[in-house]
Amino acid sequence: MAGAGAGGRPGSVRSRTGRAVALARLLNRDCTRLLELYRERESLPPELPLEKDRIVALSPSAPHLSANERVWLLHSALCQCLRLLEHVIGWEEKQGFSGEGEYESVQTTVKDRLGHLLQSTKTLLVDGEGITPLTPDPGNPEETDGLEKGGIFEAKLWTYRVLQELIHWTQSTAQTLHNLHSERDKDRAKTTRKGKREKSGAQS
Amino acid sequence: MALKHIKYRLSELKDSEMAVYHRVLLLLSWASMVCASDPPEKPENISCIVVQSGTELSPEMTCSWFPGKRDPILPTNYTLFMQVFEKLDSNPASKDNGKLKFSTMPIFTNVDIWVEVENSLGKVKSEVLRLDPEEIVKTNPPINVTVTSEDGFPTSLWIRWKHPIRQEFFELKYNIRYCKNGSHVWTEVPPTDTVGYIQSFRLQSLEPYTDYIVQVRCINNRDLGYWSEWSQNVTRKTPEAMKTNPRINVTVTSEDFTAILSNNKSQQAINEPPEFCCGKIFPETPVLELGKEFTATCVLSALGKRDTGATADDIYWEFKKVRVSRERYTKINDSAVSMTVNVTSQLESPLTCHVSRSNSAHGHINRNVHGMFFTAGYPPEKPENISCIVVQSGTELSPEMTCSWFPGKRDPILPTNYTLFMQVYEKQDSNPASKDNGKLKFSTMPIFTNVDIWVEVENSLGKVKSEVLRLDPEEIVKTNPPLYVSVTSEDGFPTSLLIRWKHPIRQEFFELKYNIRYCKNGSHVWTEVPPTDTVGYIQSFRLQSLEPYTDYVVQVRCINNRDLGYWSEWSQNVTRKTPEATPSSKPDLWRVIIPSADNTAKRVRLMWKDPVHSNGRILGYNLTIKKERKTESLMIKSSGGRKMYELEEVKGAVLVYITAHNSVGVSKPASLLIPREDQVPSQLKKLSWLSQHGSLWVSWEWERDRHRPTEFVLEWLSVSDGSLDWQREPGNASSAALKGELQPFKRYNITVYPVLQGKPKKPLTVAAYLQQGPPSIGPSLKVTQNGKTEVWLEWEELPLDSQNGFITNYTLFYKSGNVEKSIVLPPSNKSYTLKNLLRETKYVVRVMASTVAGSTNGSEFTFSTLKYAPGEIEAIVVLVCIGFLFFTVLTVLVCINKKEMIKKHIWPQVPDPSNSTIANWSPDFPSRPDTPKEGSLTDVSVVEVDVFEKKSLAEEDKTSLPLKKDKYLSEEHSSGIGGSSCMSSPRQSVSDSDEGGDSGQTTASTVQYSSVVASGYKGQTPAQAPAVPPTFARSESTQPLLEGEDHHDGDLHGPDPASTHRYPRNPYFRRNRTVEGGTMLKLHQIEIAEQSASSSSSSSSLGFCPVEEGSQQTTPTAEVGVAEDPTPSYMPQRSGYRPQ
Repeated sequence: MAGAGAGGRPGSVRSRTGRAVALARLLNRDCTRLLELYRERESLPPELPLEKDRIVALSPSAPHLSANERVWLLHSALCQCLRLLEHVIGWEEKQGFSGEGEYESVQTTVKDRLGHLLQSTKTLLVDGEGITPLTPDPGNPEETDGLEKGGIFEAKLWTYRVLQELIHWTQSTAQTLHNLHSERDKDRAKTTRKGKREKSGAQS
Repeated sequence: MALKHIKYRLSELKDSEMAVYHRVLLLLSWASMVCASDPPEKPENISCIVVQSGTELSPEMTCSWFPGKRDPILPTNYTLFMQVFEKLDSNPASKDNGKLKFSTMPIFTNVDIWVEVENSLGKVKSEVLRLDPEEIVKTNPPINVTVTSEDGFPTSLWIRWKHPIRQEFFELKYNIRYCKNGSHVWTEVPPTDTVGYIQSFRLQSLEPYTDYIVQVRCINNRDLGYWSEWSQNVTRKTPEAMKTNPRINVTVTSEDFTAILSNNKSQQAINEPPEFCCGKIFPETPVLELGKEFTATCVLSALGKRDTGATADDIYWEFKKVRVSRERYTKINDSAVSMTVNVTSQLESPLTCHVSRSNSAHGHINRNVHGMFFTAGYPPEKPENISCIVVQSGTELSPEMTCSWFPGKRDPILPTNYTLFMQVYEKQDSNPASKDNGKLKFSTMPIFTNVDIWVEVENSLGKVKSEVLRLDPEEIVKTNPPLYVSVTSEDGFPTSLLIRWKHPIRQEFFELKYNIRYCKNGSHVWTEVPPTDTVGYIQSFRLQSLEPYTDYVVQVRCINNRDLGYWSEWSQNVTRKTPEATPSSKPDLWRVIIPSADNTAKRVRLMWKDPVHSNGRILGYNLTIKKERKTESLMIKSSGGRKMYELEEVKGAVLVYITAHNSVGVSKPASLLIPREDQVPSQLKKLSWLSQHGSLWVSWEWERDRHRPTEFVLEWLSVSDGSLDWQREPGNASSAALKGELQPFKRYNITVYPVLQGKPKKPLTVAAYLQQGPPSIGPSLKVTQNGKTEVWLEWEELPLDSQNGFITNYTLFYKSGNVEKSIVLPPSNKSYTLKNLLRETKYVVRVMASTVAGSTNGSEFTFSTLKYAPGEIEAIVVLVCIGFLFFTVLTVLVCINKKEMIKKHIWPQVPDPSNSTIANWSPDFPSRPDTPKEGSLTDVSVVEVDVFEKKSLAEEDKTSLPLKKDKYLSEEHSSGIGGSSCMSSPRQSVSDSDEGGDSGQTTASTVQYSSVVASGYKGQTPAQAPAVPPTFARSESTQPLLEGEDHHDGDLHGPDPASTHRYPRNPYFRRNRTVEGGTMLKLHQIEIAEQSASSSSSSSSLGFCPVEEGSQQTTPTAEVGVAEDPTPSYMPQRSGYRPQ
């Protein structure tokens, strides 16, 4: 009911996880839109296949990982995505491709929201303050120098891949966090029912 | 609310039951609407404004008013009216404001402004606001405002500007305010310093080398209208100050102090700087906190002490020339004195320290030691109740968040800065804000993220921070209204409409929920669909339970479906008509019965109205008329527009049915029984009416112990144009407002019919007005009869259309001179007799007709009362005539009765000349005298009769004749025949004779009768006169005068044989033939005789009256002539008398 003090209606406020899920979904939609705009701008064919190989090679869905570890992996992946996006933005500015159209506007939004999501996922970690996200493997130059190793065409394809990566990881974040949120809700519900039973048993 | 609740509980019922319940609910909701509705309230507190447009006044006037607390609920029209002289104009307005457009703003002219509010329950008009547009002008701010600094004047700035509006409109006065750049605490120049129609002003007492912001505004210098907006900021730095007295360490410049000493009056000339000396004040230029104590210390420097010889005892303090009481001083040492005061708003800057001392070495010294400016105020209060909002921008959220807060009740007075802060994770940002609101700008609105927001307030007395508000922007979002709202009707579903829309914001932000409301077109009473019916992230909804064939207006709004944030605005109106359905109510059938002259049959005019719930366009009507044994059926198309049908020669009872049909179906029939003549008296009692809140209310009483009728029909007939309308009220009603479009000032005959099972019973009728007004014309008056002291006045009854109400009385005014009187007469009087008026006086009269709403005078009518009453003159004349007649008859009777006596009295016995001595003494005188010759002189005979002495003519002649004879002769010549025997001659002769002989004889005692026939006839030549000397005959007698013996010159002179024959018998006396008219003449003669007596010495005056002369000449002898003496001796007289 935090909304009451904010001036809006006193409605049901999301939990931290719920908020992160919502943000990840929103960001995923923004990334999708950004990819559409990029495709329009660069006149890329719609049949351009999605790259199956990930630039950010992390696997948060491994079954042996705890919830905290999964969030940490997602956080790390998003962190790398942000870095990739910043590289793309920097390269485009350097190439003089940047303008003031919708693409640039959505690009900024994606960048900002990615930052927000990073912060959200960080707060979800049990020990958020001491977290150190995984950094890209220095032995995997593809993660960092995709823009420099070829010509402009390659760079554009690289950008396309980065956007695909963003879509993937935001979707993955939304999905993983949603699952986490559902599990936590179930746990909470169980705890509540158990508490009630114990309480009623004590009374009886 | 209860209705709605019921309505939606019913959703569980079956369809057939639903239909019934829906009808009941519709009826109930309609009834509740009617009951809950109110006539409009009278608008109050109208205020208007006119702004400047270019160099002119805007032709548009904006007015606002208070429409009343009560929501009329019904659709209500507001109209703003204005009248300038005779020109009336109006403009539709909104509920509480409106605009009036003029071709040119009529400044300096009275403009009447009022508001009329109308809805179906009535119409009301506000009070009329009369104003001159000059009183409500808001001009532009002053133009071309410039501020210049002047070298050498570091504490002043010169402001110049131009008048924003021409002087012809009005002169202006100005307000100036200024503040230091960066501060927002304005200092306003006292209005008394900026009087006059000025265009420049010099600000003084400023701080040197400081940026000042200046603004100017203006208003009509007669304090009319509104202040203009402040002009744009103009910033200017004051020049640098000159170095001050190097000996003394002071912080204020000499110019500053000049200004201080000049009591801050800005326009004063800059004087010589005061001599500072001696010391310093601590602290310098502080900011004081109101309500707290403040201590300042004045320390004399060693140099100052030496120069002035002053010590701490000589120090005193002043707050802007107001000395501080010594009780508040504390002597620190021989050189320093501190002063402590409670800081209040009454303390005025600057605070100065002085020394005052008298001694032999220095004389009297009074010097300013030092001064300081200060400001006083409060530390800031903690802002509370921060609330923020984020709106939608395009398909995204706006990156801007607007926040507001309560800054506290207390004005800090001091310049205070408000800053709005936000923090998203580690990132912190801030923005300057105004006192109670501010904005935060984000690159992207951090939705689903915690944002910390707070406000910091700071002034020179402190800094305070509000509580931190942590929120997720999702909680404060206000989205756009739903997009692409459309409404469609579906055939076969006459009571439903399908609404569709699009979500205004992407689902990724949040899901929405919706509110839907609708109303009938033209109404503004919205019905809201219960939120429970619109749950879910829907994009369509079907409205149900609507009325068929009705236009509905629909709006939709949305909010985060988690109940966070704010409701969006309502979407734009979308209007759609529901499909047609079978008419669900009957037509409303009524009749007017027109009796025939012989009362054997009647005409019946059937009238009807469409069913209230026609549920479509009525295409026609089926009319069935059942007379005794005959049934007639008619199809009437509604395209003709006439909803009536006339039945001729109706003798018995008639039963009429009517149905209406639209494209879908036929209504139930409405029936009406037209019975035979009903002789039963009406069971209605006491029908009365009342006009209230623009509605005409009728109330009636039903006889107790009688079954109440099924319903009442209220019928109203406009007396002026014959239009008729009716409405039905339930049988238990006892009053109702007429729902038709009634006109004010028109008379309506309202008839209430009780209807018992379709059979109208005996009605009651009353005349009424929706609104009464004074008659539009006054009665014209005429005078039907005018008298001496009274007048009959009559006037015609005013035409009904001009009465505008019930005439309550007539007042008759009548005015004579400056006095006006009046008489009040009942309305039945159409004539009046004004009595007790003054005769022969002019009156102005008029009649005033009055209604309860006012009076109107008729034209004035002027009349004058008569001098005589009618017939009065005739009566006088008749009376006079009767009197005269009576007198005449009496006189005649007396004359007849006393004939002999009168005869004797008037005509005494005259001796018979034939028997007189004269006759005797001339026996030989031929009885027939010689015929005188033609052209010879006429004889003159003079007969003088002494009535009183009764001397005989003979005797008189004997004694006097010889003496007079000569004179007569001479006199005859002087008078002549043309003088027609003028009396003068004989009188003269008498006088002469008197003079010569009988002096005692006068004309008073004697009357001379003479006949003078002198010198022949007029025109005849008297040439032969000398041949025959004139002959005179004289007779002296005392016989009285006889009337009517003149006028007979002809008789006397002329040779008319007729005349001759008339008096044939007596040759001596000639008789006047008009003797019977001699009464008046007799009087004349008597009068003349008296005159003669009184003027015997001037007998000549008598001699020039021919009438008298004649009368004297002939009279006595006339009667004598009647004597029966047949002497045929007149002939000689024609040619002359015989010589005597």
